[in-house]
Amino acid sequence: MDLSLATPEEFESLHGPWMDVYAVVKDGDVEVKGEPRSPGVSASRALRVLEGAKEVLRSADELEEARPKLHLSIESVRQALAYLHLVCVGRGGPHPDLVKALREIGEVRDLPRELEERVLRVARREEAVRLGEVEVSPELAEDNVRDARRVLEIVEELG
Amino acid sequence: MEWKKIAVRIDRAAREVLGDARTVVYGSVVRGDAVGESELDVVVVSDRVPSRGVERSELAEKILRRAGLS
Repeated sequence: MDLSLATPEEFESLHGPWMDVYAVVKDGDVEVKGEPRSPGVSASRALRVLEGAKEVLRSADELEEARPKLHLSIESVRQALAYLHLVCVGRGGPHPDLVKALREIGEVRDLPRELEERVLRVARREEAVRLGEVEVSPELAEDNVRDARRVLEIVEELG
Repeated sequence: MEWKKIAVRIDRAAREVLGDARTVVYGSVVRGDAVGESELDVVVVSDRVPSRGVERSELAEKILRRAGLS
């Protein structure tokens, strides 16, 4: 079971491009709508990207405050960056809602190359963990946080 | 339990918790190409969804508990 929550605005932005076939519950009945298209990054991941990207932006100040908070933020940062990577490469470019989120803090036309590279580094580490090639360790988390910090700096510079 | 029944239970629980809410199911289960381990992907849409990820996770857990699915 993967239950996500979304505002109407978030849902509408994902609905068209990301959900080819879907079902709506109405008055206790379930109605299936849409037609299947080619597979891609799943909508659930896209939703997590939205939540994660926003969480990364909000975490900027928290990351600077205290070590415990830093470690509490590690998982959300890792998740966010891993999903950002999936979205960046999965559809041949950044998800429009990621760009939209960045635009909320300033006018952005293109994502900087370094941002993508930092995201890719985290994603590669996460993939290595997933494949069992390496184990999660404080060093790995620190590397991810270092990249995440730079991502946050880039985002701040964009603003 | 059949996925449509699960969706209806989540919808009922989401409305109890959030008031006005819409429940949408998507992914392989709805497309009909689910395999044995495929997850049921559900999104609850509401104006009352909190902005923070942590609060969203807690709210999602509350809805699942109320629906008897957690």
